[in-house]
Amino acid sequence: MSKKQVNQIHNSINRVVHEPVRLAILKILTSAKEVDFNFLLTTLGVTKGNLATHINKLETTGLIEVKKEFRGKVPHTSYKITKTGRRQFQKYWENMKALAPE
Amino acid sequence: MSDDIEKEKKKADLENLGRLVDRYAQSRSLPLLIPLAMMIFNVVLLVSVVKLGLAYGTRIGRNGILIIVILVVLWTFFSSIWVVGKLLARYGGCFYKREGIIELQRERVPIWAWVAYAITFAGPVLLNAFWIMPARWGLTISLTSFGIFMLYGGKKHKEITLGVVYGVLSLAEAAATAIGVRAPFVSEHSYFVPLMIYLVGAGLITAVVVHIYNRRILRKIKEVRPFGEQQTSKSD
Repeated sequence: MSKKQVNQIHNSINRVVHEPVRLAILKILTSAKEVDFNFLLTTLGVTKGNLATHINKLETTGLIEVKKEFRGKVPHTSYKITKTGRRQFQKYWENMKALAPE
Repeated sequence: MSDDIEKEKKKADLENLGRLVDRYAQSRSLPLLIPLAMMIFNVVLLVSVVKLGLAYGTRIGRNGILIIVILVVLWTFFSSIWVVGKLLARYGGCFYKREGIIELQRERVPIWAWVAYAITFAGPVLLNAFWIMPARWGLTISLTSFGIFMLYGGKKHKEITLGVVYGVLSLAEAAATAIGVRAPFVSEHSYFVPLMIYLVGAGLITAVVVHIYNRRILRKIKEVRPFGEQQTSKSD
């Protein structure tokens, strides 16, 4: 692969997806229909503030969808990946595979 | 070079994390206690109904009451599946609330599978009650039907670990019965209660075994997650 092609792929990598925590969140969301905040906390082992920041970033870029509801009297927030998110995640992996050394 | 190795390691960790999270989500077995409790309730209720019905039938001298009793038994048994569904939807999430809730992309078990299961599970019980099928073969067919349904339902419903353990235990019980291991408490024309005892017993073993597996997977997730505890920065 030429240097120009490598640069092209580099430039097309989605920086929002490229961050490890966000990448892991998307990975979990691709195999689930819906997850809640506590589940991501348990599986990722990051702080609440950190997770909230990353989720916010993913939401504002339209990669995930946030659903807020009341279950009984308790507020409950769950997340699911959007079509754009799924597409971006797929594209990210394809780019990474193209860049990976043989 | 070391950057490449680091990238590859992170990618492998992430792949591994995805797989482990899938397994963890698919092996949450404690909600199984709800249908098991319902089975015990069913057994107590149904045995009382059958005994009372038969005693009443004998007293008034009408054996036809047995058919009504059997219909009541079947109706109660299958309507309890609907009740269990409602209870699971409402309380199933409570068991793992602290660790968070995940809803998997489950497929529905098709109607034909439910019908096939209902016929092959309850059919032999009925045939046996009317002295058409010996208890040994009836029990074998019912347990086989349950085992296959668990394997198929577990796959469809994304509860593979649970389906496999419960299914294999039931099939093992079926095989043992078929080769002539005498089932305790089985009288020649009534094996419904022992069948339920078998299924509740196998269910309890499944719930415990799969829950232990689930804890193990959770420990692995905590080891493998690439970010450790509270290490990532908030920067973009």
